[in-house]
Amino acid sequence: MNIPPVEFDLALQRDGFALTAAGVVPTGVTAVFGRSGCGKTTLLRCLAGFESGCTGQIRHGDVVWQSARVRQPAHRRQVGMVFQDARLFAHLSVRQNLGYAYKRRRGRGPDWHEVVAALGVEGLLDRWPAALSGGEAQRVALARALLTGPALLLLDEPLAALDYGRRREILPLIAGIPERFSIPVVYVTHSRYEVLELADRVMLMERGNIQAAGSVSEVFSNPDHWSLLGNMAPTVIWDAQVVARDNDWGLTILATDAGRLRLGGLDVRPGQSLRLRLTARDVVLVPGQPAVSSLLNTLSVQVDEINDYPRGVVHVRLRAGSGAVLWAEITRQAAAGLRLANGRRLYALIRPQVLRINH
Amino acid sequence: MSLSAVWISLQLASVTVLVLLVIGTPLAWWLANSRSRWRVPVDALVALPLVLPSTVLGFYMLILLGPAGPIGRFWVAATGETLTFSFTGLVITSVLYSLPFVVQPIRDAFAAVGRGPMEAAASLGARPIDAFFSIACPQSARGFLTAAVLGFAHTLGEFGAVLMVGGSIPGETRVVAIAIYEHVEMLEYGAAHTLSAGLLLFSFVVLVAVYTVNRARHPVLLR
Repeated sequence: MNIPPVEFDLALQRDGFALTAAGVVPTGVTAVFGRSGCGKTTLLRCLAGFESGCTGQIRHGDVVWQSARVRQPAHRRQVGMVFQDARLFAHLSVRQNLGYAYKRRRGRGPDWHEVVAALGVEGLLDRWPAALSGGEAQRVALARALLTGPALLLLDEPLAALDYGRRREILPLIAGIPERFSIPVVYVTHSRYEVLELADRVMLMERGNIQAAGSVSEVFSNPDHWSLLGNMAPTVIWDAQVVARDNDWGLTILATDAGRLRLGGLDVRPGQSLRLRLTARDVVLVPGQPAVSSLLNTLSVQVDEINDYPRGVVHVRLRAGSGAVLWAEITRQAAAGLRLANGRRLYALIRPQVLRINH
Repeated sequence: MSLSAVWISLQLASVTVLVLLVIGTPLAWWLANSRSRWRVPVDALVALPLVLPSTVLGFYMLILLGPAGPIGRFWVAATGETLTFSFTGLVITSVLYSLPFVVQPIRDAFAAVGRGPMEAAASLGARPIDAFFSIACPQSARGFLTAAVLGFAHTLGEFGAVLMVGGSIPGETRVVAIAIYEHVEMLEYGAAHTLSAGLLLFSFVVLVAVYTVNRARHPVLLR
C-alpha cells in the first residue's frame, strides 16, 4: 500500500520562543528528539492543530491541513494523538473511551478487534480510567487514537511517566504500529534510548529548530550531534542483518558494513535486522591479530583521524570493512605505545550492544 | 396564605434556576476559556450581587422594569402589563440576583476540566460543540449540581430585591421570605416560626446533600 508522507514547513512565535521547522514524515517511526524546552512538543501540537499561532504549511499527500489560506481545525485533520498523561475521559469506561473514538472516526480505519487485540486491552474494557495503571492507561490511549483511523499518529512522550518494565512492554507495540496499521508515527522523546530502540528516522531539535534529520544510524553516528545527544564518549550506530546461526556455539552471524560479526545470546532468525551501538569504550586496539581472545569480533581497521582530549585521553577514528566508521577511546600512553598515526593498520576488538530487533 | 407563599417561592426558584442554567452555562464557558480583555470586568459584574445589598439591585431593577423604565416601557407596549409587581418581574430580578451562585460553580467546574480533555476529544474527531456536550458538561456534573442547588436555595432566601420589585401581592409575588417579615410585623410569631424553621431545615438539608456529593471520592453523578 502506498502511504503518502506528511510534509510540513511551520513557524510559531511566542514570548521568548520561536519555532521554525520543516520536514517530511514518511512511513515508519520518526522520532523527534531534543532537550526539554527545545520545542518538540510544540511542533507536535502544531501538526495536530492545537497551536492557533502556528503559521505555514502542512500537507498529507494531496490533502492540505494548513496553508496560508486554509487552516483545518484539529478535529478535521486525520491525526491521532497520544499525550504524555494519556488523557482518558474519566467519566467514561475504557470501552466507552474507545467507542468515543470509533464513533467519530474519519473515513476508514483499523478494525476494532484488531486494535483491541494488538494493544492487549481486551481485559480492561470494563474498567474505569481511574483504576488503570500508567502502562495500561497508555495502551488504552494508543488504542483509542488508532481507532479514529488516523493518517498520522503523534505520540508525545507517551512513556515518560512509566517505569522501565512498562516501557519495555509498550515499546514493541508502538514499533509495530506503522507496519501493522499502515500509519506513520511521530514520536517525541528526550530519551536517546527510546530513539535507538524504536525509531527508523530521527529529527534532532534544538532551540526551536530541526538541527538534523535522517536515519537514526546516520544522525546518531555524526560527531556534530554528540553533545546534543549527551554522549559521554564517541558512539556510532550500525545497522546489521542476521545472515546465519551457528548452532554449535549458540552464536548469531551478522552482516554489517564493517564485515561479519558474531554475537551470542540473541534470539533472532536469519533475515531480521538489528541495530547495534558501539561506544568508543567498547573498542580495544591491538597491533596484530590476536591468536585468541574473549572478545569474539576482531576487525581489521585503519586509523583515520586522531583527536587529543584533555586528561590524557585520545579519540581515534577508524575505518573498517566497506567504509564503516568506529571510534576508540584510549589513553595517550597507549596511543604512543601503538605508534598511532593516520593510515596505520591495526586490529580492533569490539563488543557491540544490540539495541533493536526488527521482526 | 402561608402555603401559597411557599408555592410561589418554589415556582420562582425553579424557573430562576432553569433560566440561569440556560443562560449561565454559555456565560460560564466563556468566562472559563476566554482570553478577551472583557473577561475580568464581566467576571466582576457577575459577582456584583454577592457584595451589593439586595436593595441596591432591587432599586435599579425597579427603575429599569417600571412602566417608565427602558425595559418596562417596552414590556408594557408589547404585553399591556407591567413588569414590576408581577411574577415575571420577580424572575428577571432573581436571575440577576442569583447569577453568581449559578455561574461561578459552573465556571470553576469548566476551568477544572481544562484544555486537556477537550484537545483529546478534538484529536478523536469531536467538533467543539460535540466535545462541549460529550466531555466538558458530563465532567462538570458536580459543578452543575452545586450551581442548581445554590441557585435554588439562594433564590428562596432572597428578600430585599423581591420586596422592592415585586411588593407583596398574595398568590403573585408574596414569597416565603416576605411572608415571614409580614407575620413578624403583625406579631404572628407562630406562623413566622413555621415558615422560618421550614426554610432553615430545607436549606440545611440541601447544603449537606451538596457537600456530601462533592466530597464523595467517586461521585455517582460523574458516571
